[in-house]
Amino acid sequence: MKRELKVLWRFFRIRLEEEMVYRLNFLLLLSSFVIHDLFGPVLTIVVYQVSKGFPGWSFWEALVLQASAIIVEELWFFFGSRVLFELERAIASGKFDFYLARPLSPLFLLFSSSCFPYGLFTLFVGIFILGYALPNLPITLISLLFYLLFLGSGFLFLLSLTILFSSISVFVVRNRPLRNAMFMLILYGKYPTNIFPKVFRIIFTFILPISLIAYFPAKAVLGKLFGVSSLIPFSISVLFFVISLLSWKVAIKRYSSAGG
Amino acid sequence: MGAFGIIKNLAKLRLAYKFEFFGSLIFSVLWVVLLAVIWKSVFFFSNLESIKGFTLQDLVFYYIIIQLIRFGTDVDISYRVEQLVRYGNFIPLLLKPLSFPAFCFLDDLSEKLVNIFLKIIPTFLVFVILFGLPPFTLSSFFFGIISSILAYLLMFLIDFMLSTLIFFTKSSHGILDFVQTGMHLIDGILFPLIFLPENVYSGLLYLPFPYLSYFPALVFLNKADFLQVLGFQLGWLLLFLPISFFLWKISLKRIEGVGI
Repeated sequence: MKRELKVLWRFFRIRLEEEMVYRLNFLLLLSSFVIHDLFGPVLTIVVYQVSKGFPGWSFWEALVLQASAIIVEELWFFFGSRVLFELERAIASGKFDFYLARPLSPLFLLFSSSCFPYGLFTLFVGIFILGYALPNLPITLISLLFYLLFLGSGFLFLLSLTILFSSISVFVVRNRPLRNAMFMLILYGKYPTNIFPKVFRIIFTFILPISLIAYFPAKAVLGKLFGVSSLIPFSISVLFFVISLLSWKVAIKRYSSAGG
Repeated sequence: MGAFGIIKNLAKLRLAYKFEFFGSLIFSVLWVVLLAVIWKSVFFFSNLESIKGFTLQDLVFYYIIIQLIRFGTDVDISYRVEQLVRYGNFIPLLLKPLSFPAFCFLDDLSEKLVNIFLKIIPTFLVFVILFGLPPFTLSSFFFGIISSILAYLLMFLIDFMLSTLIFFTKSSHGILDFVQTGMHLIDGILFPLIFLPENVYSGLLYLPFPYLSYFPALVFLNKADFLQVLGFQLGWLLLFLPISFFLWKISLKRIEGVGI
């Protein structure tokens, strides 16, 4: 684990140095990611300005939902968002074989070498909005601990989805539709699951649990998840992770490199 | 080769990537469906008939029209110019018997013509199947088309001005991303701008951005005075045209390359 963290830190520094070659460019790109993060909160503010808002969510609660979505998405933005893109390039150019030959898990190498440093900075947009909204809500220490657990499971779900799509990508190589699907799923996960028709609520909770991105973390911090049943979404994210790892193993076994 | 021949050849080049178009079709349909679900829940929960003159149906068609307009008006000349300059492919284009701004325009126009057949018409048909026919009248449709064409010209000039930045900075994609993301926050793609607080809304009317997609969409829906919108669009065009030429002229002086 120590070795992995060291490798991740090295890659982070390299990527950051690469991006900071042009300082102004770095700051402007960072600002554009911050603005992009504000799309959801701005839409939420406008919704609450012209109406009573989302059913079952007060204004501050909806802001917590948006903040949670940003935090989970930005963690993934840092560690996971570039994986599919890098994998496509590596397989198409034949460089993916290098990942397999190194003395570290190819999956970990793929994730750490494609880390995107901006995510660690834009994470603070979510933390800032959370800090702005939470004092207006009755929060307990236990619900905060629960919140961290659910944020973790939201991140784990996005990692799992990335691994699952990477496994598919090993076979299909060109994965742009998968990348688009990933972004679309995250977009759908940013809004309360209870606004969707019932069938989609079930799908988004049990089959493709995008509710883990923001809905369940926000529910957890607001103390709206009760009993053992509240651990079901968390268990689903773990199950999803196991399935994605299995799919990756199968994909790697079938990978035949450029020689066919 | 005349302008038509250039457009025809460039359009053929773009048709090589026709499957990319299906991805953007699915993406825009899912985006509109998400916004429709959000606003439907808001309307029902708040028991609203309309918000600032927009019924739920108006809002759904507003988002549909915005998507279709964007397919016809989104310009990425600045990215292409940046790539050409960065990888040293820019100079050969200066040696061709056609001015570079004209080439950029024809190149982009070819993309828009392809978009009409591969993006706008298919997406429109999918939307008609999902949501029914938009409430156009013959005149609003005709005026909407004129307004969209002017919006495209406006967008082209804004993007062309941005593209000249590459000659003054070493890397310009930071500023391009910053401007474009910022623009999307205030050009009406997230919500009708009239939903913003009144002082913000009236301030925005003095900027060119609402005339890129927001007002053309309102013209289609018969919710804006066409002549007033036309006046503002022409005014911005008349302002940006000489600025674009001026920026291009001073950019030319900064270009360095073998044989120049």
